[in-house]
Amino acid sequence: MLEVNNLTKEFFMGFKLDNISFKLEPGYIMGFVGPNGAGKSTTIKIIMNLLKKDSGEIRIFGKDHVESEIEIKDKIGFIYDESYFFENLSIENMKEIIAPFYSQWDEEVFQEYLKKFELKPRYKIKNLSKGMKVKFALAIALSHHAQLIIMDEPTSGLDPIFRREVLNLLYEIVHEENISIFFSTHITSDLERIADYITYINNGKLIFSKSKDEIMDNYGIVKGGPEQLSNSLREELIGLRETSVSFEGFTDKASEIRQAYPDLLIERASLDDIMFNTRGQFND
Amino acid sequence: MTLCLILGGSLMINLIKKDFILIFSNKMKLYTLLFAIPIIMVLISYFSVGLAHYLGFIAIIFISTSADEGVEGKSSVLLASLPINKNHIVISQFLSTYIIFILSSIYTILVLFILGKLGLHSILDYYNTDLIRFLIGLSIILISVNVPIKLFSNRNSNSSLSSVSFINIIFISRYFKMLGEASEPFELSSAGTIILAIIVAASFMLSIAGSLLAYKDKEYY
Repeated sequence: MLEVNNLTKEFFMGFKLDNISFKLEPGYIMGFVGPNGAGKSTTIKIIMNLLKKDSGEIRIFGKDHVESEIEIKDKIGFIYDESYFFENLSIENMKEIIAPFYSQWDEEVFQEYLKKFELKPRYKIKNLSKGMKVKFALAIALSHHAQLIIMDEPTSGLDPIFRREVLNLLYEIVHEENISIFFSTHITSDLERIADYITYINNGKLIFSKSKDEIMDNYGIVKGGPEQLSNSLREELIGLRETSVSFEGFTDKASEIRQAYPDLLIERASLDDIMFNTRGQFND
Repeated sequence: MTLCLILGGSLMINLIKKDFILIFSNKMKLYTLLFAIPIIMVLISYFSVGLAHYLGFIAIIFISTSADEGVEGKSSVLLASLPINKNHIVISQFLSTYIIFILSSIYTILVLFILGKLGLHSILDYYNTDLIRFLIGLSIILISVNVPIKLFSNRNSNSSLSSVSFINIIFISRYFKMLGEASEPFELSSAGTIILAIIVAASFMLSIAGSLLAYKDKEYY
């Protein structure tokens, strides 16, 4: 569905997207995480051919993303981190502009989504709240039978209730219509809820791209008493914190430690823990 | 229409339609232009400042209507994300600007005609073929400068650069003594016609070819 191989892009100001590779299979949601400035939006812009790559390969639906750009974009729904619509237009006018460009535009589906999201066609884009703009962008993205939806920070700036609504909708879409979603965010709790795969980049470098289950199995928070903290265990832990009565450390070898030290308590690490503790691994 | 079909058929028509949806969606600006222009013309007819202002009005019309919400700034990212050939975006921008220019010219002539019929000072009396040739040539140069600016700049710089284009037209017009008394008939010598034709042809071709070439590599940061 979406395959990025050895993607590299260097900017004049020094930032470099360095050898990014990952693969998203049909029918899955991939969360694309990283702190602000990690290169998430840059990667998405390169995938959408809004920025030119220096090297590497991007294949979408098995085709090169530049050579088959129009054919590919016909099957992609996109939602960006800010509104790129013409602000003075109404929802109806904006739809009139966008719809004719898609070969499989489905007016009935669009009207259904407008009703579902309680959006009136006469509403002006400039008067919509951030949440309503995201809803409108979703309605557009879902009304031309897109097979891949690319979203750049769609939930940032939304209240928790609306964020949950959007996530539930995405979950339904993937499971009912067998489409794929590539979803960048820095709100990791969103991904824990719906993502099947997680790709984490920091400072322009890929930290990992794995299934969520694999990540949850591999990473953990190890806890125990000071007498259990051997030198060999100490070497396996990242960000070790010790007190006179206990220690706590993060590990990326949770299953191995679980086998080697069955008496230790190993808690599941959250994506926040993982991002925090691995943030320095690839920094220059 | 034939050109549209050759260059991308319905996609091209949709892109041009988009520009007109944008123009007509901003009703406040549209009404201001429709009513402000006749008022300015009435005022100018009292001062007899000449036909150069006719061109100025046309410039005002198409700069005001197409520069504000065209293919610039954030919304250009939207167009670049849709399944549209980038060449079509460029050519449609030129086509829609020329269509707007033609419609604006027709409207302005209509206003001038009505002013004449009402007995106000009619600057239509000072038309001659030299002047029309000159005005069309100058308009093509203006469009050739303005469309690439719209395609490659953000909204603010676009507006300011469009204003510079407009001011330039006034100065060029003054150079050709078009801002003097309206009673002075405008004459374009054979050498002047040839020079104008060369400049117009060169700017027209350079503008389209350059825009097509550069737009392919345009990046959206």
